[in-house]
Amino acid sequence: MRRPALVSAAVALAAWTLAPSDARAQEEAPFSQRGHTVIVLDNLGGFVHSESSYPNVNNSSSGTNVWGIFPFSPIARFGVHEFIGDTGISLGGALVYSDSSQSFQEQAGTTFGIAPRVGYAIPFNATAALWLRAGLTYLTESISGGGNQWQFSPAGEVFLVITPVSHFGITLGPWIEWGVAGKECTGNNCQGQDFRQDFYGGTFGILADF
Amino acid sequence: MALVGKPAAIGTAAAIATLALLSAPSAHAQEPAAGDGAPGFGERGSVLFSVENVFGVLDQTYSAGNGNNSTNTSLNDNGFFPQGFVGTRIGINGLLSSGITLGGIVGVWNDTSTNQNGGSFTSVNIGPRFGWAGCLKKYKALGFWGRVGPTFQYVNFSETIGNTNASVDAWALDLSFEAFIVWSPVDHFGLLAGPNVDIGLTGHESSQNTGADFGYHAVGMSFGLVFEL
Repeated sequence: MRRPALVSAAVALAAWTLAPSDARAQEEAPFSQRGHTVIVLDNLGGFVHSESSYPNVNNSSSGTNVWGIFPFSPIARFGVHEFIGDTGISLGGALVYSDSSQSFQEQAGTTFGIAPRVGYAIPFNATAALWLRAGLTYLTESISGGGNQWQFSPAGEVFLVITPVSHFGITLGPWIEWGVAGKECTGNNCQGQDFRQDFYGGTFGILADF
Repeated sequence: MALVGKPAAIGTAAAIATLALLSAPSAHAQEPAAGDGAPGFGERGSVLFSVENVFGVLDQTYSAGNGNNSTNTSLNDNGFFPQGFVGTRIGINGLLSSGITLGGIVGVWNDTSTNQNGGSFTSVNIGPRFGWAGCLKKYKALGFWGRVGPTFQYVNFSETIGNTNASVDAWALDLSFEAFIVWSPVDHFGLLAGPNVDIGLTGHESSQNTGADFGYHAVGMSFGLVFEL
């Protein structure tokens, strides 16, 4: 059904989300039960703090704060998850891959990562659910001109999932990755040293479920 | 280079797997498929929410300076979420009954170092868009969406060196074209694929008391997601 203007659509969407859940529940099952396969774009925006350090070097810690709409690697991710029956348990993960070459002052190279996750969804009603996910993240980056770094991080997300219409949802909540093991090599004569990078913040993303 | 080939293969496999997943008959879908007489893309929603350039190739070039002193800076990205000042785009467009779409793309972010004397980077991208969306009459799961419009970019670098604050401001205005094939096998969801081109029109860069021309152009081929709401 069409509406003539963006404003009326926004009002309709808000009304749909705020309407009594019983009516919608009769139309559609909640998140994790209405579709078992979920494609998600995580961390498209919000606030993220990252902290990098070299544990064997004193006062080597450096940090950045990022806020806004920031769909770029390795923060933003493409993920696929599968819910097992109607148990609410999900298995899946996210993939990070970007290959950048540039004549710019920032470093360029290839970033690759995988972030397997086990999750559990708790539906509140037809349009809202809590999706808890935990797992590991492995990130590796090769830097143009020599050098690379890698690390493992225990990680997790607690996302509120809002699903106002079928096949579409918004995720919103905290995300953390805590670097516990990693190495960085610089230059052609690589002498690896311990490296850690932590991420934490509150982010939003979008998903499609089938 | 071994690191490059393996992720590329995995990325391609992931994209193919996603396509296969979406093309398979869905046991969970309760509504009729788009090809069964149900409305197709461009016929069943009033708002198109999209995330574009999620995966693909994007070559961006910035030029700064006047006349023969102009220098180009290139950023060439492959993979998910290309970096750069305008990489992945988030779009919100209203859809009229004629298939005409009116809306725009937007992106605002700031990256600030928490170290003493650390630098800061701010980027703002905004662009109104005029377009047209529709679907094939005989196979409504397959649609198209073409758009055109200006994109305004503003970037600021600032850092403190010693006791001196250094700051560079730059803005650029370019004309953007996007042409997507849309595959929408189920209600509300579509997969975008197609080229995008940005042609630089004008721009300016200023640092302290100096100024110069600033320009941007880009060409890419990418996948994205669109949701009809």
